Amino acid sequence: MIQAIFRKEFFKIRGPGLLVIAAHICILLYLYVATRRLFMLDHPEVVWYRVLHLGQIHFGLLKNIPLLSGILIACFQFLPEMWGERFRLSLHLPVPPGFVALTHLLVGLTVYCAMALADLFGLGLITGLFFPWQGIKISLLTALPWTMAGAGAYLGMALALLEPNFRLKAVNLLIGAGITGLYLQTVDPGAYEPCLALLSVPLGLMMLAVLLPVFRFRCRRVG
Amino acid sequence: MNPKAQAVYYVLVILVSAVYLPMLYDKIFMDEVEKTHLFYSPVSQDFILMEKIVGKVPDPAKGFALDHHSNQAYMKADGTYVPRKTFERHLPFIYYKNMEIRGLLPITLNGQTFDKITIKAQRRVLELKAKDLAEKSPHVPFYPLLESNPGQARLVFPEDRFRMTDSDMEFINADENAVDPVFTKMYTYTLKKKGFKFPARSVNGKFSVLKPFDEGVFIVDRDYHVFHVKRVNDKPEIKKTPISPELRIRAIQVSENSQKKFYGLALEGNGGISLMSYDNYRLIPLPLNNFDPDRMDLKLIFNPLYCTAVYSDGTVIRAVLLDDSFSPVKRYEHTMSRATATPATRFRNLLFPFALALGPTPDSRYVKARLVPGTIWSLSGMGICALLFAGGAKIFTGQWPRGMRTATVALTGLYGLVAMVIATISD
Amino acid sequence: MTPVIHVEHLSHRYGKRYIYKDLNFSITPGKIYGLLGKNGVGKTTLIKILMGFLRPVSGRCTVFGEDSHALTPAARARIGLLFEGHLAYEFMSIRQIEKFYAPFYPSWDERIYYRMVKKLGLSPGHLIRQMSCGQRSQVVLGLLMAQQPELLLLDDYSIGLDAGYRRLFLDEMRDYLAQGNRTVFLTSHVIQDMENFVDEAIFLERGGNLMTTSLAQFKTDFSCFRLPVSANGSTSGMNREQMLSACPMLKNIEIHKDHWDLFTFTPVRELENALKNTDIPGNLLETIPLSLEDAFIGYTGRY
Repeated sequence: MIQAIFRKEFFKIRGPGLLVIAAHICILLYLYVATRRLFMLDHPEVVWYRVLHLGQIHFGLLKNIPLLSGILIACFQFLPEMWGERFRLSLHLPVPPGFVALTHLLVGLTVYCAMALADLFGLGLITGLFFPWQGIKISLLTALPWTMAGAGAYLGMALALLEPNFRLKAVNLLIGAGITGLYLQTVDPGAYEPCLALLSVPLGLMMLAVLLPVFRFRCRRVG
Repeated sequence: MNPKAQAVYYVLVILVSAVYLPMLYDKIFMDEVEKTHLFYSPVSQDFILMEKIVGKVPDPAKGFALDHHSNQAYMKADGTYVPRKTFERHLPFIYYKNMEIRGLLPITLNGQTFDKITIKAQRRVLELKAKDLAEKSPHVPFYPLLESNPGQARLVFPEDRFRMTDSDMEFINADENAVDPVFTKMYTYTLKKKGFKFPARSVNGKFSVLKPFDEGVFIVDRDYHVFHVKRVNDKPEIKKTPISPELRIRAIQVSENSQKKFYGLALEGNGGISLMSYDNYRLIPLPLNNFDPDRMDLKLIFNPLYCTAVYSDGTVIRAVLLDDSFSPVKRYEHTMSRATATPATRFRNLLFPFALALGPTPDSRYVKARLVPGTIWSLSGMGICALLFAGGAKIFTGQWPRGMRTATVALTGLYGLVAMVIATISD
Repeated sequence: MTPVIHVEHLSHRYGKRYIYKDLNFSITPGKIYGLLGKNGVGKTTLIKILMGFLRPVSGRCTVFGEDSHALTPAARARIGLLFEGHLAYEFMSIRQIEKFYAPFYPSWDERIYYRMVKKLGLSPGHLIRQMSCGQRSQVVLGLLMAQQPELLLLDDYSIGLDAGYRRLFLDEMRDYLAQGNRTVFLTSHVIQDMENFVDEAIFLERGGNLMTTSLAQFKTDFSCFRLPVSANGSTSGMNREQMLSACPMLKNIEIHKDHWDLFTFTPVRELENALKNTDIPGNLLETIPLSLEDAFIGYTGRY
């Protein structure tokens, strides 16, 4: 049954998902070109000093890409479900609604994580071409909270899109924005390292919280 | 499942509120006040300070505010306020440029005359900030070892940087982005020959080319021995310093200065702080009372007559005037105006039972999650919120709210109120 | 016999406007029920309540003995639900959507599905969003039939379908019902399709008034009598409400330029007597033959 839902979601988001993947590939290629250019314009040791000592971020473009991807994946996944309230079709299936909701989230998060991991892998690869492993480590530690922001944005959008009441949709958008904002502070590269584990807790909570709008959508009343 | 999802959802609402509502309140109502600047005046032979006054500005301070904002006050240690220009005249070694413009240089103090050149040559500031300590800052442990004999006026970065592995001082060539085996072998061999025990505990230096010359780096080895490592004509020049390993040197704040008296400040394992002199790395302890390097920023201000150590946390600023042998001559302690409770602070305490803060702190560059508890006033706020919620629910829905909901508001104050209002809407 | 659907003291409102107050009815297995009513009387709302997509303000609905707002997956597996507008995941193809539903239903029979969609003459890779409304309805019905549910709930199956597809739909339904012990509860606007199809009709009126009868009985009992306006001179001051009040046996009155059509379940003689009491010459009443649609409109009113 999980497989069936995965398949359905795959059919739904493969088209726009491919576009997002293509955009990610383009961005990574641009990142490679931009990083390479840094080394063409200056001596490598000076670039190392700027990046590794002064904290210049050579991949700043990636900061909002996960955020956008999370929002887009949630929209691709849940707007068609909300259009004409088609989500009722899935919620009428003879499985608990929580199962349906969590499986949908699992699909979205799997797709998102695959993209995010590809981004991180690409970033690591590009950084590794020009910097030692310390550079790779600090780059990944810098980009990881941005990746978590994307997951937060995905879950926040799911929270808002699945909620049937417009006032609560707005509240859920605020919650999503609030959680997402936690991961996007302008701080020194790698500064999030000690609290990354702790910051995964709000994402776990959001995943469970998405069940509430689903139940509200299913029954329109929860109590 | 529903009650669980509801509970998690409201936890999330409370969490987001507890992060952002206090932040929003602070942005609107709270003034971000920087720390007080405290100095020793060679003119009045006493301490003098400059600070932004939080809350009501005393009338005497207002009287001297003609040339500046009235809450920017200049105060002597005896509590008297002075105008800005008088303040500057009290600190001729700091405001020497203004003094020169006003025709007040050269100046004679303690029977000695100082002109601009003398002042400039003898001024020096050494600084150690809590958040700059290696374990409190996400720095990349990958350092340049500058050529100490560059054969030119300007220092340049070498083509390589080094990192300390468990067994090597490993140099990476920037052009190749690959290990330079020759340098690695050469420096590792020399270090080991000098008795260095891997792995290194810390690498300390001023990693900049914007300094008059290069003194290399100080590396603390596994056994807390301190090694002075330099690159001279591309060859290692390594000395094992006589600094006792029992001091467990935690950090050395190196600052090259043409006076060549001190390499910088050394922080010991027990929190003590010393000046590291050029005299065979002799450590001169600084007599700082109640100094906590993990919470406080230290500034050591040298001028042609005195050395003053000024250190502060978020509330109290302290200063010690030191003589030539760095013994304490005079001490001063001042609670900074920024710590003053204002009506906005009190209302904040009433409004928020606690706050969740996420971000760098004054003593760490790392992002930290902190629960900032409220005060006794917060209890009143929590009670008011619970009453408002129960009364509001009765008025708008005709029913008393469920006990669990009122209890949530009572325990989490305004945040719970937000969550439970949302819960009531969603009903 | 345990009812498949049981509705007890059901009330529901949107805002302050009540859709039903104290609605009660039951559905027994093995029959076809048609829920008939004008737009806005709450037919779709009732289906939503029965399927747990809405929780009523008060009252109780059970389906297979379970509260409708807390149907277990096992109960949902026994129910085939057609959403209004033949709702389907349109991004899937004929084959993909069958593959999606199949694992959820233990009695799934893909032969039924493919037999039905074969009639469309479309390839299995054809996307649902590229289909006409009628073609889509056939696919959706195929999915419901392959599921082999004990109860079929069809919300306005006729919407968007031309006569041919409506006929095809009903034919498929008959095949399904022929398998025995199957119950259908449907709503529709097209009353003539219901003739010779539903066993019981549930007439739902605004405010929740409800009448359950067979359509044959309804056709027999419900009559229309025409009263010429020229003969009505003496009651020219009487309006529709006053007439309904004077003749409580009247279900509805349609006012035309030169005549009034009076609808009632009462024999003509009783109506004549009532009219005479209001000084209207009842003997001028002319009996008008009614089709099922005429009778339905006469019963529910035109607007």
